[in-house]
Amino acid sequence: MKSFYDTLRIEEDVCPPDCTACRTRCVEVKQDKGSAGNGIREIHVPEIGVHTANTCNQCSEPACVDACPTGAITKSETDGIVRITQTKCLGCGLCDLACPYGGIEFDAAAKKASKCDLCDGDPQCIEVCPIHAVSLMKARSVVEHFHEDPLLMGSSLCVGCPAETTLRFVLRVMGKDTYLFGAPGCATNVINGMGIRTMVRIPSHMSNMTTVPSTMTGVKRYHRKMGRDVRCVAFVGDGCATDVGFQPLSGAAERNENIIFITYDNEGYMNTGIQRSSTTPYGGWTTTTPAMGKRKGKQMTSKNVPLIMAAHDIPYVATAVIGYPEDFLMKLKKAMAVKDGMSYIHILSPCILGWGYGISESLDVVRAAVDTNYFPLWEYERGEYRLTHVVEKPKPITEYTKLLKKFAHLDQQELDELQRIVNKRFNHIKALTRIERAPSEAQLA
Amino acid sequence: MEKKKHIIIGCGTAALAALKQMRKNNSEDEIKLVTMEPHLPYSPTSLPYLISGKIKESEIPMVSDDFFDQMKAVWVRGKRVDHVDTEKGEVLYDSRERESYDTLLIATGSEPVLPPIPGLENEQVLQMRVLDHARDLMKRMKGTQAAIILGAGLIGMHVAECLAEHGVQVKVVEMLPRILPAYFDEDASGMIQRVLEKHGVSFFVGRRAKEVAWKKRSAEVSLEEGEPLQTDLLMVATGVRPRVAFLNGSDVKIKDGILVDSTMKTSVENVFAAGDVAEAKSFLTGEHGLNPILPNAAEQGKVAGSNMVGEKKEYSGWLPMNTFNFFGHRAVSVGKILPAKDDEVLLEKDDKNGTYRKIVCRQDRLLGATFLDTDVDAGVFQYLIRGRVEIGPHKKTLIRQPREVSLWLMRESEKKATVSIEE
Repeated sequence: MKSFYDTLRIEEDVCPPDCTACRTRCVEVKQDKGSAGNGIREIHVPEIGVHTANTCNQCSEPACVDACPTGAITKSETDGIVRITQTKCLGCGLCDLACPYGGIEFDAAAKKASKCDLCDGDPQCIEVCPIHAVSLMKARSVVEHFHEDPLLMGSSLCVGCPAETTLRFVLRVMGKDTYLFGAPGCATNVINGMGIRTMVRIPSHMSNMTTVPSTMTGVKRYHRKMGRDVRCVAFVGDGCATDVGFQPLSGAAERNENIIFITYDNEGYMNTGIQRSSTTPYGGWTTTTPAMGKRKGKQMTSKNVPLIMAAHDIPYVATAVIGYPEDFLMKLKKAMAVKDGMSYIHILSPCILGWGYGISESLDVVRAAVDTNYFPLWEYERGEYRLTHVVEKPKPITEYTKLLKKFAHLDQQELDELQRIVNKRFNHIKALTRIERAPSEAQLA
Repeated sequence: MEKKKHIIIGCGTAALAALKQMRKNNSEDEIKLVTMEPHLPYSPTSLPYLISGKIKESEIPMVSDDFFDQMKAVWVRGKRVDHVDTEKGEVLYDSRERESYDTLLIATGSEPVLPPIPGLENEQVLQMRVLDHARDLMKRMKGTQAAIILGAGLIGMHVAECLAEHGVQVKVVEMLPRILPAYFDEDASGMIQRVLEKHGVSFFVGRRAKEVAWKKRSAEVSLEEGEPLQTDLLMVATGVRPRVAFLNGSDVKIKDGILVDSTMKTSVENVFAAGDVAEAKSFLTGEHGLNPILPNAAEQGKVAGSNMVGEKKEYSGWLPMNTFNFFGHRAVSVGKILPAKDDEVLLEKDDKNGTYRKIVCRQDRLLGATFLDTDVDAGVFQYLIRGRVEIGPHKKTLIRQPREVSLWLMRESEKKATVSIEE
């Protein structure tokens, strides 16, 4: 398998002007360790309003390693960190000349090159960043949880559709003894295959939209009776989960069946021609909520299904996106650990065709949805609400809507309204996180 | 698939890059590297630093003892290839043995050139290309008062700095009208020269050495005009040329170096060349030429290594670039240094602080950049040139805050790059 390693992520253009916190700390850390130099640096160009920071990418094929005349720079196979062995460093500066990403700090006066070594896995710049713009992307620790890929190559989903990636991620984390359930929708093609080809190597079953939770219930109960611990996982669209099959879903939650129900919400009936669903957002274009003349997309707000699911008081409910895989992984792990009831995960899964964006932009879209608080990442775990990915400086909703053609027709007033809805919903969930867990009976006594 | 046998002649940067790349592509083929050097592979770049005492000799090898075992490659040292029979697919060693290959990589690098000046054939003449040269100089420089260096290229300048740091009176004779002529323009060269002069190096620029007369170990260098110069130590660093003599009489086409296409293949189907020895096409002009610098060798070696095991990889062309560090100062140049007729030049020069910034553009694209004592990430400028990144509206900001603006432009371009590759 290809190697995956951790890297630093720096949020674009959010740094406070003149801030040097990351660099100052980095220099201190290096000095404490008895070395000199620096591994991260702020970029402030007031003239064009740029305030961000730059550091080494820890490339998979580092140009600096190739260009070093003494082999002083190496990439570790265990942690992927690109390090400089100072006793071998000539101070020739060729690494700086070769690196196209500005990952090397070259000090001509001291004749030394230095760079980011991720503080050997615990980057200190993260701790000091006043706006939490620096984070460690833990590809390695995510991939470590992967099992063999149960999906075969060549799905018939649209090019660039994040639903396939999401399902693959889910199943790779779930591992053995997982039964997959689906319903008519885009993912039908993945689960049932096209023609004589299928894509899944694990037991899977397609039901009607209205019978997914009840089918899962039956399979799960049968295996339990036979003494087998299998996981029943549903992967269905919003049409099935939130509209057509909502009653049986609610019923399974009320019975607290031990199943994992995952909704990939693309905010409409994308498989049948982009009709509106109850999760289509305010202002969103679909073929049944067109934007022509006086008609301005959907005029109602969307149904907040994960909150409704939490109101069933099942053990675990969460929202997730594939763009924040560490967060997603943690939630899948929690859902898997639940053995005494139901888990529900609601995923925002953009539709290239139905939302109108480029095939390579799915991750940008979901991240923007999170970074604008349009789709806050939270979880509800046994009575307690928690925001799992706090956005320090939420971007205005226009940073999200501008990416999508389905919102292209909105004027300022409508955008304001959408912003109001987003704020209201976020404040709602935020307020819920402040509720303390209900005291247990033992505590009351 | 049947295993092939690859022979690599040479064991420098290009050769090692090719080896690593072949293994990275999961090739199980047999690979043999043959070098005439007796030492573990090192780069000539390290030699001046060895002389200055910046690094120990034990630290200069590019790879560890067990590297070739790890790479499952055979490493043969102290053996010279005398000829290549491309028709039979065989190399002939100095020991008269023959060995056949399926594909051959020529990565023999370059060798120093001695200009046709009477007196230079003397064995007291020092050069700087291989480890033994450096050892020679280190032995000789103890107790030396004065030294003359012929040639003001990078090697000459590096050695000048080392010797000056050791208190030696250094004189540099350069035929061309400025020092470091290949890498810096007149202004920048002049500024570098003044710094070196401040540290005791004297220059005879635009002057030609006519003859060298030896008196035991010391020499008298007479110039075409003016007083002759006296010295204890004479180093010739007038340039290098590709090491191709052993290919005489073979089918491998040679101009200045071995002509290669964009896959690093020579005129012979199963023979590749990479590094200083190869004459590949230039990124800027598209014409073939030599560019004997290390990053170039690394890249070419990678391309050759891929193609030799059947993984297609294209070379985008070389870009002149270099970095010169001297007495705590730094000069870097990337791409075009002298503007052509239609090029635009932006310049910021501060004689007092010794800083110099120059960018050469055509329309909205960057073609070259030169910096003196300016805090920049030189590689990012290479990125901007190679990526043909549009810098139009930000040219002026770029020259004012080169480091920050170049990084920002690179990152903006990276965002778009992911989109365009997939589309």
